[in-house]
Amino acid sequence: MSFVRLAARHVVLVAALLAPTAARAQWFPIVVEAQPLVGEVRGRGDRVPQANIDVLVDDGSRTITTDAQGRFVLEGLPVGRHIVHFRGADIAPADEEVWLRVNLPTVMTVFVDVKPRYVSRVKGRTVLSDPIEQTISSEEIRHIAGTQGDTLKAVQNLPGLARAPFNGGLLAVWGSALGDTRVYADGVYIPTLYHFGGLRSTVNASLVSSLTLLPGGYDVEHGRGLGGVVEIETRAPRSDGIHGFAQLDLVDASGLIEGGIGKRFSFGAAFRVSVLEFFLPYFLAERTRFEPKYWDYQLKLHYKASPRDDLDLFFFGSDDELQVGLVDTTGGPFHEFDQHTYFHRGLFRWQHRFAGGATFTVTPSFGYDVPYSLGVTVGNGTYNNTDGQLGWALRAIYHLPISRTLRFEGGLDYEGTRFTLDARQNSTGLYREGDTGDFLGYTAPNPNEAVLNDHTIVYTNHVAPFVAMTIALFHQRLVVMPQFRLETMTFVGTRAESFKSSAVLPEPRLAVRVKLSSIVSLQASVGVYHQAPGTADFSRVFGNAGLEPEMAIHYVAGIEVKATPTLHIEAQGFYKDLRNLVVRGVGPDDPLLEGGGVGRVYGGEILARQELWKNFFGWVSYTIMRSERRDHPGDPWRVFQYDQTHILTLLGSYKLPHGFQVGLRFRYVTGNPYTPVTRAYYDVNSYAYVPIYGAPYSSRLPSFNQLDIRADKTFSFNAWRLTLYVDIQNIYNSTSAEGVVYSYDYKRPEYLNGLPFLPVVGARAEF
Amino acid sequence: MRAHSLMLIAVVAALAGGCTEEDLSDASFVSGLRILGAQAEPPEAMPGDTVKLTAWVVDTKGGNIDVTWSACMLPSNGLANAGCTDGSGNGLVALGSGATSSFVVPPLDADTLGPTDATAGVYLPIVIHASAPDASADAIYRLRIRISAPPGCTLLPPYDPGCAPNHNPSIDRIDPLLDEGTPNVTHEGISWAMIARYSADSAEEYEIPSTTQPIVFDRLTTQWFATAGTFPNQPVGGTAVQKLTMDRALPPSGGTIDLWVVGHDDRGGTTMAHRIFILQ
Repeated sequence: MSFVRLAARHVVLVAALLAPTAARAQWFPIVVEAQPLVGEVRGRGDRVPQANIDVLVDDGSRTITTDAQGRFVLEGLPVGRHIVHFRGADIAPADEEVWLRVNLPTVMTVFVDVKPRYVSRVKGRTVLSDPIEQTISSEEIRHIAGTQGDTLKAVQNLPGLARAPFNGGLLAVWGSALGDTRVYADGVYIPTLYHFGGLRSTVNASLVSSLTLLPGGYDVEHGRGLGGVVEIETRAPRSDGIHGFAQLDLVDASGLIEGGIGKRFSFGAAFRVSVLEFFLPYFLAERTRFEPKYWDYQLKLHYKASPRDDLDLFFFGSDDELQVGLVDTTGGPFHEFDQHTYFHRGLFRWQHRFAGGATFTVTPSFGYDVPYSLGVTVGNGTYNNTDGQLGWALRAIYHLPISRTLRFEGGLDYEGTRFTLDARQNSTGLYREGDTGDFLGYTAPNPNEAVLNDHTIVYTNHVAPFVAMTIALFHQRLVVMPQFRLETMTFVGTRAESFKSSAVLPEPRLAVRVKLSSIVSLQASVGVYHQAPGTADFSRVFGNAGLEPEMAIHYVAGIEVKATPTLHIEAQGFYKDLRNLVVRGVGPDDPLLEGGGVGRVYGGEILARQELWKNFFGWVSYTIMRSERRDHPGDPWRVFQYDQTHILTLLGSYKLPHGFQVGLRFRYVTGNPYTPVTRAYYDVNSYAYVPIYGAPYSSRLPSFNQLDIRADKTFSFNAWRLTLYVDIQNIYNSTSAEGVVYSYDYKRPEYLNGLPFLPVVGARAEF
Repeated sequence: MRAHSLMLIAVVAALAGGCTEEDLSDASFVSGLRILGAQAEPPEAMPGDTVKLTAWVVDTKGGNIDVTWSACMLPSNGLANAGCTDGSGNGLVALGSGATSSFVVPPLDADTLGPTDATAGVYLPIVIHASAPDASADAIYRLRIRISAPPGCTLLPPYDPGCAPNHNPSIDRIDPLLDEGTPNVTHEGISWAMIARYSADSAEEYEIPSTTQPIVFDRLTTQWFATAGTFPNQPVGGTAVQKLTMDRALPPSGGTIDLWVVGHDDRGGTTMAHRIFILQ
């Protein structure tokens, strides 16, 4: 039942005579008009004015609708008791009693329960959009089990993504390597989506309006990645008052404050800082130091310069620092790791909407990244590898709807960097996909192995103009999107030896969509994509300055069925042809790194998704896939590091009365490949056993299955809202193998199991 | 995202989950055939020098142990070339046999020895193959080769500080144990807190060019092995206290327990001490 606050400024005798009971009112049939009834309707918990709410008095003889500020004024009501009814499509019905008195203006503020604004939508379903795209709304995601309410972690539940070990955040999309999928925030590239490989997202979910996964076959607005694209769109800060939240759980604390200043300006500021370092020592063994710290921030300013112009200024960044000291279980020396990675971004965005429906958006940005920085001490040996990158970028897009059947899109995508590599490490450098190595591919520096130094500076400038036409024929039943992107990549090294290389890379792409009926649509796309080698790979000491861009061709075809207005089913098949992949040289005269590796990825996926219906939403996604690589001509094909044949996800959430909501998620995934150890010898100098590995990724871990549940309880007060939640991962404590560890002499392998039953309890207060 | 991030998550899981003290002690529990270490005298040699090799190999089952020595002549990246350790015998040159053997360092070139390690040294991998009646084991000892002098040093004497060839460390005594040959009486459940005492000249100065601290001292590391009991940590710093608790795999009363202590410096120098306990 809604809460009503009545404001009476004066008390007069007449009112006292008229007020006592409803029965007495009936005894005085004299109708006396009172002062106006002035009211406003707001949402409970966030105080948002509710527009277009029907206000009905008594039997509905007097009605009015709230204005944009949620206000209403009813004149000429008779003195006495009335029941005021509030009705609207987005609110729960509310009925309030009010007494009107002569010469006594009555003001009422009503807080109503606003229905959950689930927008369980798959963006890109309209005929004039990208053919392969998954978008889930942040409100929906917040209740998915296993994500701790983190919007950006929910992307891992979509089809096509490999399951990340330890529920981490790696983005292996449709069998592509980890670095092949690019992440954009408001159109600007960011180096990492998650803190510490998946713990939390680096952009506060509260500022995110949508998260879009483009697993392949995406359009010409994006490029430079052989895998997929993840797009984060932040929202404009709210301008309807001051709002915010504070949240705390065992992992971190976060908060947001946002609001409007005047009619045109709004701001939003969010932060997050880790707290888990205070709890971890209680779970760790002696002689072990593990000190993770992270924080991130976002500051967004929005200015509505005119009805046709929006200006945004967005500063955001993320910082992860980790110090680890651990005992080598094979009897080696004590290892110490110091890792510090971060990025900072500043972007300005101007969007102009022309009278004819055209739009122009330009986004210059700048930033500084240290995407990787690791210092390692093993005995007297010290090693480090630090990548630093000063970046600047410009993205400009012009959309022009020429007619109902024709649309033009053109733009420019430019990114420049000044990259520095400072490294002192073993000659093999960092682990690469395809390497043999210890658990999860990581091999600690070996003090008895060769140590080399390099300091490299590389300037990169990548510019890509692009155009696309969208042609809708036969009453938009057939949509054809021919596209072209001309990617030009340049690399200039200034130290230690200068080099310069460039490549002009045409990237034609085509998407077609056929609407067979109002229920069934077919879609297909093919496109060429290129990706620059990792800039550190241009090191003359650890890589090859002559590397050239890698290439992929994506082929995608699918069908979409709208079985009911809220139930969508879509299935698609895909094939990726990967060429000129950077691999290690193996011949005596080969450079340390060279192009020439090839790959192929093929598979299919299906997603059946129920939007909010009778308080329930959920989906089932299934992917069957094979991802293979051949590093050198003549080599046998091998599977990719995260090749997962079957990926099944079932999730659902149900809203119960009284502010309760429960959800669950079940996953079944084929185990990851790993490289087995076939034998080992004892290395006297390093007093540890050295493994000898078999063929890369020739063994596979057992399959993974896990059930997560989540329960929320929301307490709604007039001015704020409190949510308590418990998110329990692995409810039946499944022992899923995430890797293989060995006895000191490598004779006894054992599985390293993933996270056990893990409850996360937290609270979130919003206002 | 780099694989390293995953490794860090894995570290948390391993440490929170199943990495116990018992796991760490496994490497120090000797059962069956085991190569505990090897020593070259001198541990840093030039081509033409005669080097005496000694393998510290034990078999708790008491069988005869045959030891063969080979040099890996395939190009090295610092570690032994994988071709020398795949069991094929390719690239191996026989040096001799027996627990102790001597050989003359052959002429070597930089390509064979590979780039320098973290201590600015290059090494010749020597493959040790030990075989007992029912088991065999392989190990590699990398002999530090002096074919060029570090910057600022001379190849031949007289040497400036930090420039002299490496020498093997030596263990003077193990406190509070009696000297080798005199058994130490022990009981079930007893914990022994022991310290390896090295000679004063065991940790030598040496130079690491191109680093912020070019002159450093050898960091001595001690490995502890026993045929019974458990160690909480393995290995430990040169003179740190190591604790042996007589709590597993104990022999019958009156039986003996062997303790081996192997010391290492940074550059391939090694030493070994052996002690005996009698369980009462």
